Order: sequence, then C-alpha cells, then structure tokens
Amino acid sequence: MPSETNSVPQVSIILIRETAEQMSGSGCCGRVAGDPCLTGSRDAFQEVRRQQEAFGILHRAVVEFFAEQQQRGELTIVTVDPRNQPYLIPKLLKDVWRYRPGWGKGLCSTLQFFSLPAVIVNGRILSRRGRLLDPDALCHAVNEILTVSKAQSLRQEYS
Amino acid sequence: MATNAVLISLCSFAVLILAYFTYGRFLARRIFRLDPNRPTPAHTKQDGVDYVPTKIPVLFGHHFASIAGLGPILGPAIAVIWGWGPAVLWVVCGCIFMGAVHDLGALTVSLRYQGRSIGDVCSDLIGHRARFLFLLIIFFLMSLAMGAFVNAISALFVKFHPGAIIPSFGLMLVAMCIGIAVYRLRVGLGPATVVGLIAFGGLIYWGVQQPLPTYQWFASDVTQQLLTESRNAGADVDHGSIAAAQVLQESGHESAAADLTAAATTASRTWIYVLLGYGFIASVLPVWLLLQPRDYINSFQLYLALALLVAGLLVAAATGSDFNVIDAAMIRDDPQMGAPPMVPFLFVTIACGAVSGFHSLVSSGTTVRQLDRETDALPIGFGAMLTEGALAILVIMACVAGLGSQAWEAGGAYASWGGIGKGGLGVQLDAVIHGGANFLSEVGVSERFGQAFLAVTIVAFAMTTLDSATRLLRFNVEEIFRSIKLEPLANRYFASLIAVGGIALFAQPQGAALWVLFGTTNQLLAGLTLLTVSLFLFKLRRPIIYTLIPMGMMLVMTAWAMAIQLKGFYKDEQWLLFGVSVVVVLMTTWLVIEAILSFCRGRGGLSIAHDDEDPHDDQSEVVSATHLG
Repeated sequence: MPSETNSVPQVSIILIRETAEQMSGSGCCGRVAGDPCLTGSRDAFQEVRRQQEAFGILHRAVVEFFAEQQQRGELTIVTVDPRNQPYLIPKLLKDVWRYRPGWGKGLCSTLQFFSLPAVIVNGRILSRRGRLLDPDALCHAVNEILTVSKAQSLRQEYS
Repeated sequence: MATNAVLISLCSFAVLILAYFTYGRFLARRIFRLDPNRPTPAHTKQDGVDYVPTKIPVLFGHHFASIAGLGPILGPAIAVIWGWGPAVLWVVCGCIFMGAVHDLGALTVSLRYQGRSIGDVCSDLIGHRARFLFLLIIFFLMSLAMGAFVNAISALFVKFHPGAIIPSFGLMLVAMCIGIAVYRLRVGLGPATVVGLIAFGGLIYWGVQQPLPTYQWFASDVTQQLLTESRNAGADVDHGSIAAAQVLQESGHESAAADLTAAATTASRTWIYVLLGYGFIASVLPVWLLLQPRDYINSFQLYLALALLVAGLLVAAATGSDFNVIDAAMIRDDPQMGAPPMVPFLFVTIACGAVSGFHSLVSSGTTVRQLDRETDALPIGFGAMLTEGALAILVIMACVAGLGSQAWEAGGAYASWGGIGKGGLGVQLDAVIHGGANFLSEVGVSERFGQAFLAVTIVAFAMTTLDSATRLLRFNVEEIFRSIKLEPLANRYFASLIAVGGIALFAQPQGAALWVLFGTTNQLLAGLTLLTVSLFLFKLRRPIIYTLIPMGMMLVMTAWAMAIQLKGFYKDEQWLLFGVSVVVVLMTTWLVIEAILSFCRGRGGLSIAHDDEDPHDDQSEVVSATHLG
C-alpha cells in the first residue's frame, strides 16, 4: 500500500503514455475498454499496447529496485495520459519549480518539448525522441539523484 | 418573475456536491464498505501496464475524459421539450440515486473481482446467458449510437451549420499531421499541440468565412440562381438549408423553397454515405495516424468548451444579460406539442447525464485497475458521474436560456416534438450550439465563431466515436468469420464493410425516435449492471435496496417506453425500428427473468474472497471514515 508522507519526495518520475488501449474522446458511447470480448481476441490497438508494455518494464524496474525508498515516500511515480493536460501541466510546473533542473531543461519540460512516450525525472526529460530508457539507465539515474540527495542532507546535518 | 439560469445551475451543483458528501459517503462506508487498507488490484497485480496505482486527480481526469462526450449533450437537449424543471430534476436525482450509484457499484464489484470486467462478473454472478445478453446489448447500443450520430452530423452540416464542414474535415488533416509529427517524426508534444491548436482556430475562422452550403449543389439551377441573388443582396442564406428556405419563402419563392428542402434531404442522405465512407476509411487506418491525435485534440476542445460555457454563464449573471434568463416553461405538458408522454420518455431520453450503462464498461475495464485505494472509488466513480451531471445541467441551460425565447414560440425549434424530429437530431445539436455560443459571446467570443467552435467540437466527438466503433465492430466481425472457419472473409476491408453496413441500417432520419431507442438500450445495460451489483450485495448479506430500486426503475421505464414506441412504429410501418424495439423488449424480459432466477438461487456461489462477509469492526470503520470523511 502507498505510504503516507508529508515530506517532499527526492525523486519524482512522470511516465507519459496513453493509459487506455481503447482510444476514444467520445466517452459515453464509444469507449469499450477493458473487456477482451468486446475488442476481439486480437489486440485492437497494438501499437499503444506495445508502448504500455515497454512502460510496464520501466515501471516494474523502478518499483522493485527502489521498493524501500518508495515505501518511505522518497520516490513517487505517476503514469499520465497526454490528454490529461489539466493534471500534466501543473505537475510539470510543480516538478520544475521544486527540483530546479536548470532553465533550459525546465523550459523544455514545461513547454513539453518531448515526444511521446516520455519519461521525466525531477523535471528533466530523460527519454530521447520517443525512445524509452533502458530500465537499468532509469534506475541508475534515479539512484544517482538519491545518492546526491542523501549526501546533501548528510552535509547539511553535519554543518 | 424570470428564472435565473445561473441560480438554477449553482443550486443544482450545490445539491450534487452535498450528495457526494452525504449519500456518496454513506454508500461507500455502509453499503460497499470501502476499506483503504484492503489492497486493490492495482497493488496486488501491479505490472505498470494495466494495473498501475494512480493518484485521484490523475485517475479522475482519465475517467472523466472517458465518460463525458456527446451522450450527455444530445439527451438533455431533446428532453428540455418537457420543460427545464423535469430535465434538471431528473439529471440531479438520476445522477445521485442511480448514475453515481451505478458507477460506484460497478467499480466496487469489479474491484473485489480483481479488476475483471463487469461482463465477466455478471457471467460469474448471474450465469453465462447473462454474459451473452450483455454482449447483445452492447452490439445494439453501439449500432444505435452510431446511427444516431451519423444522422445528427449530416443534419448539422446541411440544415444548420455548413460552416462546420471545412473545420471538421480540416481537423482530420491537422490530426493526421500531428500524428505523423508526434508518433513518427518524434516532434515535441508541446510545439505540435500549439501548432495544431492554432491550425484548428484558423480552420474555424476559414469555415466561418466560407461555409459550404452543400444543399445548394443538389438544388435546381433556378433555386441556385435565387440563392446567389439573395446572398448578393445581403440575405443570410449561409446558415443552413432551413434558414435559406425561410429566406426564399419570405421573398415569395415558395416552389424554390420546396425545391431547396428536397435538395437538403438529398444532401443529408449523401452526407450519411460520405460519413459511412469516412467510418470505413478511418477504421482501417492505423490508430496513431488519426484516432489518437484527434482524440488528443478532442480533450482540449472538451475542457475549453466546458470552461468557456461556465465562464459565459457566470458573466451573463454578473452583467444581468438576457441569456441568464430561462425562457422555457418549467413544465410543458401541452398535448398540442405532440411529444410522447414525459413519463417514461424523459427517463430514457436523458440516459448519459443521469445514468448510463456504458460507464460500467469504463469503470470496470480500465479505471478499476488503477485505483490506489478502495476509498478512491468514491471520488472517481461517484464524483465523476456527478461532474457529468453538471455538464448535462450546463447543456440544459444552454437550450433553455442561451437559445432565446423564440425557440419556444410557434415555429421555434422546441415548439413541437415534430420540430425536434424534423432535423434528424440536428435540431437538438443546433439548440446546444446556438445557446452555447450565446453564452460564449458573453466572454467576448463572436457568435458565429462560437457556433462554429461548438459545432466542430461536437462533430469531432461524434466522428471519433464513429471511427472507434466501426473499428471495434470490424474486429468483432473478423472474429465471427474466424470462428465459423471463413478465414478469407476475415480481412480488415471486408469486415469493415460489414461493420459500416450494420451502422448504415440504423442511420435513418428518424431523429428523436432513434435516440429514444439508444437511450432505452443504454438504460437496459445500466439495469444489467445494477442487477449484478445487487446480487453481489445480496450474497454478502448487505442492503440491496439502494441498487435494486434504480434497477427496477430502469427496467420499468425501458419496458414502458418500448411498449409505447412499439405501437407507434407498427402504426407508422417503421419495420426496422419496430424490430429493434421488439428485440429490446425481449432483452428486458430476459433480464427480469434472470434477475428473479438469480435471487431465487440464494446467497451461495460467491467466488471471491469471503473477507467481505466479515462485518466492519470498529477500527476499520474509523480508518474508513478517516479516508472518506
């Protein structure tokens, strides 16, 4: 279960990908998701599905590798549909404001200069031209941030 | 004293919010017993693909975008013919006591069944026959909805908003460019969005400047000549065939007006074929090329339209504008109007917006797998449905206040049921567009631009639905051919043709009758879901009255409306609609029998973990109360 914490997480990961297989903005009368009988046994939206599965590998890698940190609230992962702009825009702004990745990188994130699907860690775009990161590379990047952050907090403690 | 539209809207919103904090919490705590400590499928089966624990604001956005669309716009726009009072009352009460209960129930049951779809769960709880019934209802529901949408768009293009044609089709090209840029050339999402939205605005401007009066193409040379002369003389003949025919009639050219009306009918029929052709092409194109990017633009249109409508209504109230005054009567029960009886038809006309069976598919299929905590089902399931109710209230206000008093006078759009039907569902959409644009004009958007924006938004929703529904029907047809060993016929082109043919069957200009049929089928699906939820509660020895009464009401209203419709269709010799109505009546009867049989079987046979049967102890009650408030 998710842990309760009031402190700011040291790592914030945003995974941007379509969240449903069945895409339809028509809502009420056009979205027939989730039931394989309705969409046929073949996957109706193979490319979206492939992306979702690639993201699943990344997601699982981070969740498993940093299970303790996540439990302690040091790391958060959020998977957002690009259509959910009312959430995505404030979230990107918040992350850039909070983690200060630098002017250039911050602007790139907030102005959404990333192609889909995308991975953003602490307000910095880590995916390049829609190519997903290797799970090892993502874990390495996250680990680096955690280590730096730990070193900083230790330094602050001693000073 | 004039009735204030903002006041009615705010009161309705206040009741919906109050219901969330009272009835919603009561259901979540006492009936569905949502427990924040019980692991959800998003955690127990977490794979980062389908099962992803998601925060409330994120999931709410995804869920709301999935359930809100054309449904809560068309239904209320038809139902205001009985007056604004019954429509508002049904939206508010239906939302609270039926729709939100239905969505929350579907979400909770699916949650306990580890994220399985409601179709699967009903097969488990009721039996395999129920699963077949479920699929049958979905098939009818999709075909009817598509038929109604094709019908509505063609009427809109020809009779009311020829200015929407260029932006609607231009939007497809823009979407395809965005699709190629974002998904193939890997251009940044932000720049592609900005360029796309600017192009969208430009297209609307182009459409406003250059409407395409396609009805004119089918008119005689004399009529065309008269129209050109009228246009040169400054007459407004570009607002669709109805306005053009009126201009001709007023200038004494009655035969030309009759010719124009006939030409408009031919043009509408031609548009139906064009749209079906579009459905065929769009359903065989890769999703990244058209469906995904247009869906992305649709989301902006939805949020922008909602924000502008609310802002316009508030400004109208603040400035004391006429658009804040409700012109329609509170209750209209005039037999001269020629409308079918308000009861039961109101309850099946407003389906989405009050209670919609389709929501169970979204709730149980996708959303449930992302719930972080069980208690999140309250804001997501119950809360999103109430928000959709608020959207329906805005639509009602656009029709009864934004449209102006002439719509309710003799010859106006809402003067009679016949008037509603004559535009083949286009009248209702035009009412929303016209009324909505008047609200938008309060925040500085020019009336013609506002009308084109709303028209294109509605058309884009309908076309995306047509695209995805044809695609889904195509997959089903392919499956059927494979299952009967006719592999050569199971190719995408032939299967798409069959799917389009199925939709074409229902794309008839019966207007409101078609929509009522869609509404009854949608309510039937809601009835089946509520039966599943009731059985689930029954087996857990919990009170079932809160789900059983809505279920009973759905079934009674469906059967009642169908009985009346059947008589009318038989008398008018509308055999297709008669046949569909007979099938709906049979499905309703089937559902009632299944319900009786299921309850007679008793409480055994629950295949899920029995921790649900344990009464809530004091501690878990405290924890639950902390999360639910």
